[in-house]
This record gives sequence, C-alpha cells and structure tokens, in this order.
Amino acid sequence: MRTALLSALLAVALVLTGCTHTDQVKSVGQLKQTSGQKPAIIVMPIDVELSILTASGLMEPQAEWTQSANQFISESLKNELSKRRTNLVPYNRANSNSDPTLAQIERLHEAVGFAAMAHHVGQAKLPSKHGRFDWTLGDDVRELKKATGADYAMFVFIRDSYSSAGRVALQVGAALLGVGVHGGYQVGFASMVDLETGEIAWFNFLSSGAGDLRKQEAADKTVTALLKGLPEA
Amino acid sequence: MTAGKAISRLLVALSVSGLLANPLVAAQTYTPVFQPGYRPAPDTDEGGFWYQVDKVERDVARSPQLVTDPELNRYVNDLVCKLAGDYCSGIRVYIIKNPHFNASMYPNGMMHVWTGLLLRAENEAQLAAVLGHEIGHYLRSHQIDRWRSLRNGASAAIFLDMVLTMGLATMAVASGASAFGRDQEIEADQFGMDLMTKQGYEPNEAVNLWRYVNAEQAADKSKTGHSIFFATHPQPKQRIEKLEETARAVTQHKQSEFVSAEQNYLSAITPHYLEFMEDHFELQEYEQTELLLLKHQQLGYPQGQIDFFRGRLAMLQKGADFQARAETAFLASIDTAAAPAETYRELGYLYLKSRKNQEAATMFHKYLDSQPDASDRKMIEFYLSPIGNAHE
Amino acid sequence: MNKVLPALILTLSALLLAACQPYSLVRANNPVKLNGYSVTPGEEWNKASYKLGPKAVTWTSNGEVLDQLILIGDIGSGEALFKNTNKNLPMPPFTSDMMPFDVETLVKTSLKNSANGEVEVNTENLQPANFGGKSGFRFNISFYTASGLLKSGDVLGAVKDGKLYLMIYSAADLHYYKSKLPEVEKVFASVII
Repeated sequence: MRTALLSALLAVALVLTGCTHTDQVKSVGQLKQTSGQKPAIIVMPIDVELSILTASGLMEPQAEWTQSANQFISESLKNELSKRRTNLVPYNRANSNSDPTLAQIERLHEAVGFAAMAHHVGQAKLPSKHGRFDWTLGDDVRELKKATGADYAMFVFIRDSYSSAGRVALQVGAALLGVGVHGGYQVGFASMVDLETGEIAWFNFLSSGAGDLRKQEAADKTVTALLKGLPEA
Repeated sequence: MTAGKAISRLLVALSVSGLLANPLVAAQTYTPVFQPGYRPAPDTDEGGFWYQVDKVERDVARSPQLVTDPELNRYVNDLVCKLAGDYCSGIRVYIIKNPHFNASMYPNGMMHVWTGLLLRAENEAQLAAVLGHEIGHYLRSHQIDRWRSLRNGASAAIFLDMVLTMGLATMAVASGASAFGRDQEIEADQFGMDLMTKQGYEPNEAVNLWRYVNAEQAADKSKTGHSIFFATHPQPKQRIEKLEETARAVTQHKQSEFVSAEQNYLSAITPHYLEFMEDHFELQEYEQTELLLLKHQQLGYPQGQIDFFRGRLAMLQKGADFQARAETAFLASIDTAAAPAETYRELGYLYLKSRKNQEAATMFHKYLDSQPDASDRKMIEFYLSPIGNAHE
Repeated sequence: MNKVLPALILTLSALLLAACQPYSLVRANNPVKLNGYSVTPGEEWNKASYKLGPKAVTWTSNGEVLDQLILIGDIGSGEALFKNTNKNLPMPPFTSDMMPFDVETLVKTSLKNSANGEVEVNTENLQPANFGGKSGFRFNISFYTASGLLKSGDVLGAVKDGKLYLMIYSAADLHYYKSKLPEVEKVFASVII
C-alpha cells in the first residue's frame, strides 16, 4: 500500500518538524548558466497526488483533483521560474519508458529525496554527514542534459489530503473538546538537480496543515512557498 | 411398450435433457455492460478507481518483472483477442514473472497473467478458460461494482490494496477478503465458458482447470494459505458443479469437435520452461514443486530439464538417500539433449562433497566446456586446481 | 515514492517517533569489533541501531535506500543470517558443510525473504577471495527494489571452524555503487579474523 506507507512516513516527519512552515534546507548562491544564456530548467513530471481522508481514516486518491492540481502546479511553476529568468524546457515522459538510464534517474531521485527527508529534515540524522547536505544523483544525469539541453532538472513531489464531510464534522467536535484532529495536510519537496554534476543544487521541504491545491490561487500560494529561496539566475 | 409410448418417452427424455431446446443457446449468455472504448469521467468514483489502476499500469509497463518475449506475448495476446472479440483493442496484456497461479483484469482493460499460471495450465483450452473468466469479470464491470459495495467499510482499503498490489508483489499475503462476490464468480465462470466454447475450446477443460485450482487451493490452505488467487477466488463445490452442468449441456449441443490445443500450448511455453520453473523453485514450496514436475513430465516438457529440477529438489529436501537420488536424477538429465549446463556443476559439487574428486573434476570440466562464459568459472577452476583439490 | 523494504520503513518510522538517535558514528581508521572479526574503515560510516539479525550489524553512508553494508559473523550451524520477518518466508539456516556455492543461495534467499519475497536477487561471478588472510569467496548481487530502483552489490565471506562470516554491500547501481566501492574494498581488505 504505497500511499498509506508513504503518508505514514511523511506524517511522522511532519510531527517532528512542526506545521505550517517551509523548511529551506539548502540552496546555492546562483544557478549556473551555459554560454551566457538563461539557465534552462526542465521540470520533471510532477508527482502530485490529492487524496481525500474519508471518515474511516482511509486515504482515497481523487482523480479529478489530482489532474487539476497537476495543471495548476505546472502553471504556477512555469510562472515562478520565468520570474527568475530561466528557460523552461519541456520533458517527454515517454523518453524514460524506452531509456533505462532515464528511468533509473527518476527512481534514484525518489530515493535521494526520501533519504534527504528521512535523514536530513527528519530526526534520523546521519552523523557522518555532520549537517552537510551533499546528496547527489551522480554525473549520469548528464544523459538527461544531453537529451534535453537543460542545465537543471526540477523535481516536485507533493502529497496532499483533504477532509471528507464526515471528517470535518469530527474535527469540529474534537476542536470543541480541545483535541487536535488532522483536517488534512500537505507534505512535499522540491529539488533542483544540477545536470552537469548531479548534485542537488537546491532542496526545499514543505509541510503544512493548510493549503488547497484544488484551486489555481491556492496552488500558486503553495508553489510560492515551495520555491521560497530558490535563487535567481 | 408400444412404439408410440416409446417415442413419447424419448421425446420427454430429450426435452428434459435440453436437446430440443434452442441448439444455439448452450449456456446462459451474458452481454458486456459497456461499449468498446468506454472511459469514465475523472470526477466520478469510477474515474477515481481508473486513476489508481492507470498508475499501477504505468509501473507495470516499466517493471523488471515484465516478460517481454515477443513470441510469448503474441501467443497470449492472440488468445485474448480471440476471446474478447470487439473488446480486444481495449485490452492490454502484461505477462508477469511471478510463479504463483494468478490472472487478473482491471477495469481500464489491463490484464495480468502470471507465469505461475502458464506453468499450471495443461493446454490452450485451460488457459482460455482462465482468461475467459477474467474477461467475464471485466465485461460485466464486477470490480467497480464490488468496490462500490465495499467502499464505505474498512474492507474497501483491503480490497483496493489487494487489487492494486496483486500485480507486483511476489509473495503478498492475501488478507482474506474476497475480490468478488459468489454470484459474480459464477457469472464470470459462465461468461468465460461461453467465450471459450464460441471459439471451439473444449469446455470440460474449464472443469479440469478449476478442479485443479480447487485441489491446489485445498493443499495450500492446509499450510498457511498464502496464495492471492486462491484467497480471492473461493472455489466452493457449487461453482464446479455449475461448470460441469454447463459443459455437459454445451457438449451435447456441439456442432463440431471441441479442441484442447495441447501441442500449441506446449510449443509456446517450452522455450520458457527452465526460467519459469526456476522462479517456482525459489518459492521453497517443495511438495508443490514435486507435483508440478510430475504433471510436466506427463505433459511432455523437456525431460532433461525436469530431471535437473528433480535432482535439485532432492538436494534441498534432503531425506533418505538424498544424494543418491539427486545423483540419479542429474545423471538422467545429462543423458538427454535438454540438460542445462548447470547439471554438470551440480554433479561436480555433489561428488566433491562425497570426496569423489576424480568424478567431480570430470563434471566440472564438462560444465566449463558447455558454458564457456560461466560467471563462476574462477570458483570452478579453483576446485580443479591442486590447492582446490586439497581444500575441504 | 520509493517503496523500500517495508520492515525498514516501519523501523525508521518507529525510530523517528521515538525521537532517539537511530544512527551512531563509525569513525574512520579505527578498528571496529564485530562478531568474531574486526574491520577498519577508511571513511566515516553510520551504524544503524536496529539489527536485521542478532549477529548482523548495518552501516550506511547516505541512507540505506542508497547504500548499505551488512556485517555478519559467528553464524553457527542451524543459525540464520537475519531474523524472521514473515512467517510464510522463514529464513534458511547455515549449515557448516556449506560450500561457497551453497552460501550464495543462502544469501540470495535470506535477502529475498527479508524483503517479504518481493525482490529477486541475482548472483554471479562467484570466485575465491581473501578474507583476512583466510581462504574465502566473493560474488556479486543485483536486484530491483519494489519500486524499480536497480541495486548492485558485493558479498565477501568465509567459513572458518564451521562458522560463517559475511559482509554484504549493496547500493543504488546509478552512481552510488561505484562511488562507495573503493571504500568497501578497503573495509573488505582490512579484515582481521
């Protein structure tokens, strides 16, 4: 049950980092550019999923919300990134179906993101890191650079859940009693991978008890928060 | 008895047995509940279900467990297309390397066929029976119905979990919740029977196949019951009886000879036998392996490969005289043309362990000769060297 | 999201909830006593506080999803490498008459069972090797995790006085395997038994 396991883990990470704030973890001073042009950024297929938290506590992914959220976030990302004087390059998912290295790059990024969240943001710190954030995807990412001409690849991962009517009722009742019930929460991260070195040039972790990705305006807010601190070219 | 009475008696008997009924209606026929090309709107609950299933499909399409051999895929796809008719273009078949018996269809047209099923069907008709059964579930939208009825309870999560992970987990333990209701199973049985007999497949093979599934399920249950398929497709006697009844009715009406197409089937599976059986071996299900090997021998899979597995089974199960039994099996294997190169290596190690160093050396040389690119060459050469010989 | 070893995720979650220190530092160039032998790493590692088995120690550099070194020793006849995590998939025991060929299967099955049977482990390149000056063996492993990430690895081992000693290295095939291999070889070469 991928969704449930993931949500459980992220919820745990959430517990220890507090609510409604963005944790900026690492950023570089400036994004590099090749040959005096704006840095080209390729936005990897966004991994966003919106679920509903049913009265019985189950997470039920919602197709329509997810589709809309994907669109809103893509729009938002495009706007934010153009404000920062970068060039967006389209990425064709079909490429990684036929190219095993590209598919492995996507999966490695998932794993690296997980490791960064568990071991850097979360409490399971790795003492040998001494607080450094030096996770990398390795220079095999150059294949992605060759395939797309991009300087950086941006990965966005968000999991979001909302209350069904039943749960909201529970919430109100519980609030009266002074007990906290999760209405829903957003957890996610955005990372910018340097496609020359494979290093994660920038990583941001989001956890929030508010927010709503089902509407463009609210999605904009989330994306702004997620990209807080993203350096300009 | 007068001639007239005898004739009326005969007529009564005939009408009872159904021979005077419409000869074209053998079983109760079912029709699909949607048109080819159907797709639900995303804001419906069905849309939500499809979304999750579409995600599973994206993963399966890129899964290392996917069997991509073009011949085998063509064989299974052709059979599915024959059975599904107009709905063929909406179905995508994925053959998955998993040694358990399983086949499943998802509402978006994705079909999973596990290699464990391919190892257990005895002929094309039996495969058609299972595929027809799954197509029956699909064309009657059983999954979405079931999901809707379970949705408000906790079983929905279990059902979803089962449905969505069935395709990928090698050894997931079934939760015990049935995938389908009993009536849905009977409907799928009958629909499947209808589909296969329309294509000329012997309906009694469906009975044979499900009887076999029943038997393996009973044996499985007596242990810890960890097969997904058996746990989610309960086989009460009633289903077999109904199938037998339908098969009888159909064969009485038969217009032409029904076929089992055994040779066709064996030809399609034989090139993959070694690989699929090796996967089964890793399950450590020794009793089941023994039964399967017996069945495969009767069917006519390569004897050399069967003896190879017999020998390995003896080595793993131990028991009385296991080395002697293993040796006999391995030696029988190398006498045939189909012996895998590893058979020589197995004998080499066997002899080495019983300190028959000369025999061991002979076998190791034969192993390296028949597999020049053996990845464990250095280890074998070590045992062939003077140091290796002295090593215990 | 990466569907890592379920046992690992749950362990990690439990550790996170407990808010304790799940990893302790393994210093560089300091001999480390294990079960029946010692090794001296050339770099710093992180030792996990959970144990896959009573005689198994787990180290990681970047997190177990990316790289992992399991150090096992003193396994006697009848003992398994890891503790059972799934009652349908019992861990196979070591027996002292096992040859390297048999240990290869033991490792394969043990790793697979520790992942609930969900990963197929391939092994190859079995060859004699040096284990702290004693005659040992090594081989390569590779497998796809449940979410499709390819991992590669090396196993170094020996049977001495009827007991089994093993070091199992695995890492993401893309970048991490090659990156950590030189240090892993250093650890392998530093065995004192």
